[in-house]
Amino acid sequence: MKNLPDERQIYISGRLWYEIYPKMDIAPFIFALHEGIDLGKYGAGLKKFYFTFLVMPPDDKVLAPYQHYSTKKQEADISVRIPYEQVVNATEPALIVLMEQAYLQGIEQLKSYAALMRSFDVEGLKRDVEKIFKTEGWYELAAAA
Amino acid sequence: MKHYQLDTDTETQAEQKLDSPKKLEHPFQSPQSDPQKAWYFFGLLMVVSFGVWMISQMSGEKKSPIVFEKNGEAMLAPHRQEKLNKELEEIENAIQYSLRASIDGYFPCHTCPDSTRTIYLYKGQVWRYGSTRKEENERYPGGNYGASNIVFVPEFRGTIAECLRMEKIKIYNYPLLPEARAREFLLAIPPGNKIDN
Repeated sequence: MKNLPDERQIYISGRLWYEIYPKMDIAPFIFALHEGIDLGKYGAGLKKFYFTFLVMPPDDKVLAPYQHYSTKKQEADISVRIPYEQVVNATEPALIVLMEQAYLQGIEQLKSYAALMRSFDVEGLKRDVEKIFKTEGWYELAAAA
Repeated sequence: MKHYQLDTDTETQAEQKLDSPKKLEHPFQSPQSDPQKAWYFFGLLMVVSFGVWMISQMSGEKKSPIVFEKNGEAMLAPHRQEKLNKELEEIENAIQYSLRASIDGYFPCHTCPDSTRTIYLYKGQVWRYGSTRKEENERYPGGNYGASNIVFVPEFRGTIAECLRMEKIKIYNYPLLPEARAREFLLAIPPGNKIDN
């Protein structure tokens, strides 16, 4: 695995229930999107994008999806829930697809911020991320890097 | 007045001479009937009265903590009952979690013996144990865990007391974990924890 700088544009983490955690590997997303995406290309409105996969049992009352955009800092922080049962039942390739969909949904949610939309091409970002996800074996390549 | 160097009588006369032009400028001025001061006093009184009125208005609008049933029995007002329920629920629903490395790499270390204050963790290794009853974005706003490349792994659910108990057990037992014992130096607590609790 390559070393990543602490200061970068794309941050990805997870709030993953301990029974799920070993099954979900978010590291390939961290590396592939760090290397493949330059937020500056889409405008000045977003300098940092924090994204969180949220997978908790259905009866959990503490952790919930959220989203926040700071116009001042030009940072977005979005958490998207993936249904627990779907993750439990998914095969590894299906789980990667679920994670890809969640990430793209997170980008889609950026559109709810009018201030961001004025100065940032969210659709362009989404298109380029989709392109990465459509690359054959991108997940395995990033995991092996 | 010392610079005039006059005797007493002459000094008095000189003072009268010096004072007289002032008196001519303000012939009706006296401490008892200063209209400017009176206006200041009146203004101050108005401000204080307004403040008192505002406070009384605000306190009048504040909801009472109790309400009375038709039979005259007092009970908690709905807004207080709701707040109580929410706070009880927060106490009941807490999570003990670990923050773990999501990639192999260097992470901050608060208790490491070397001066670099960093430690190399492999993916999945524990960086910190904690407990929270707040939503995670409140606990770590902006995804700021205190280190990059971290994953939040909820490990136990229960009351806040149960979670704190579990957290403490895990922090103290950290040096017994295989990942901790495999290092050249032994950490008493996880690298992301600053103190025992």
